Amino acid sequence: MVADDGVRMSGGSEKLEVVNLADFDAIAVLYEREMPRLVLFVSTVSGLDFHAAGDVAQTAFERALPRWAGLRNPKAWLYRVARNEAIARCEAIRREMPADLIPEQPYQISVAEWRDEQREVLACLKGLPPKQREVMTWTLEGFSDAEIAAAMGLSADAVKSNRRYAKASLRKRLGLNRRGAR
Amino acid sequence: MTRSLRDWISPRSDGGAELDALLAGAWEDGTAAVTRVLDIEAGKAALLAAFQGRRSARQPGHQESAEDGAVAAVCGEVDILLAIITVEDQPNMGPAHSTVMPYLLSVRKFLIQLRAGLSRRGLTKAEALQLVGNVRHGLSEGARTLRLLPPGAIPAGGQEAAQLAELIASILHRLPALNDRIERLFDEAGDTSRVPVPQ
Repeated sequence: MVADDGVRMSGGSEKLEVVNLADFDAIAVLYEREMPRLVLFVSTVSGLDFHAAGDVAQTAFERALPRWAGLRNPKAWLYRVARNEAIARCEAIRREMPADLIPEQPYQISVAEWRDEQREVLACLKGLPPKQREVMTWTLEGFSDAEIAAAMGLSADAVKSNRRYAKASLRKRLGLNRRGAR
Repeated sequence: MTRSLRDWISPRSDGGAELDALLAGAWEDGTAAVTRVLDIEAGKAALLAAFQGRRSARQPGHQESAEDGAVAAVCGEVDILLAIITVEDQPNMGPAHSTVMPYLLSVRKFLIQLRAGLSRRGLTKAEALQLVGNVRHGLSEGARTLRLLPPGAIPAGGQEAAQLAELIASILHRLPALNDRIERLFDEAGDTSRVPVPQ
């Protein structure tokens, strides 16, 4: 039986398997490749700053440790767990913080590292409505419509629809015409 | 099954190919920028520590603890403080922001270290309290520097400086509670040598 989060299930409950050193080597390789991407993904989807997004991403990797041997698609699992963790943290912050102290803009420690064009494109992406922004972010990370639908609890048609609206909005915001020219 | 980026930016997709390429390029550049500011080796070392912690926790005789929630509560408090501290690192910052930003950056760094150390069970009680002390010191110094700004350096009304002073005060106000939570976390477990929550 395969759960939709990519974890092999056994007897109706998640099977935790002992992680070994060979597993850790594989995790370390995935970490090097995916950690920066996961941080950018979390930050874009949730609005958390890069420090907090990094913490969320690290937490997702640590949670993968005992489950590693049972993960059918570790990348999809990591992104989904990180996404859910980020949303939970944002909700906790909103619940516990006085409204006037919630930041409107995420803190950008590395803003000096970004070129103007990157900043403009990613700012437009972050300016989309939440569902459209999240669909685009999953798409940019190369996930299929079915994977996005499962992660976000949407239908595949809703994923396509959100992406279509997002692209139309981005074309407008970035000053591109229908054929893509500026 | 994931699609490759090349597939996604193909002209068959539901937007202009140039928009797709622009987005994909910005995303890759953004990833590269994040890579430059992340300490991947430190992150892997922390992951290895967590891995080794899990292995030792599986040794015979190891006592399971039910204190995950206590650590999560402390980490949650730190998350709130991190969310409060927001500074835009932009060239058009006012003088008060420019003055205080280095202090707030260092405060954030200490809070991140505290949160990471607690969640990875890598801090002693003394180290955790020292980090809270560092946060308090950074905030106090930031507030002091703000007060010392010459009146001419602050735009009329001083709203920016007042907001920053209020922000610093709100964090300082929450620190005693955080300190108490950390004290209790260690003391109730009777072990101050490391965060008392083996997995």
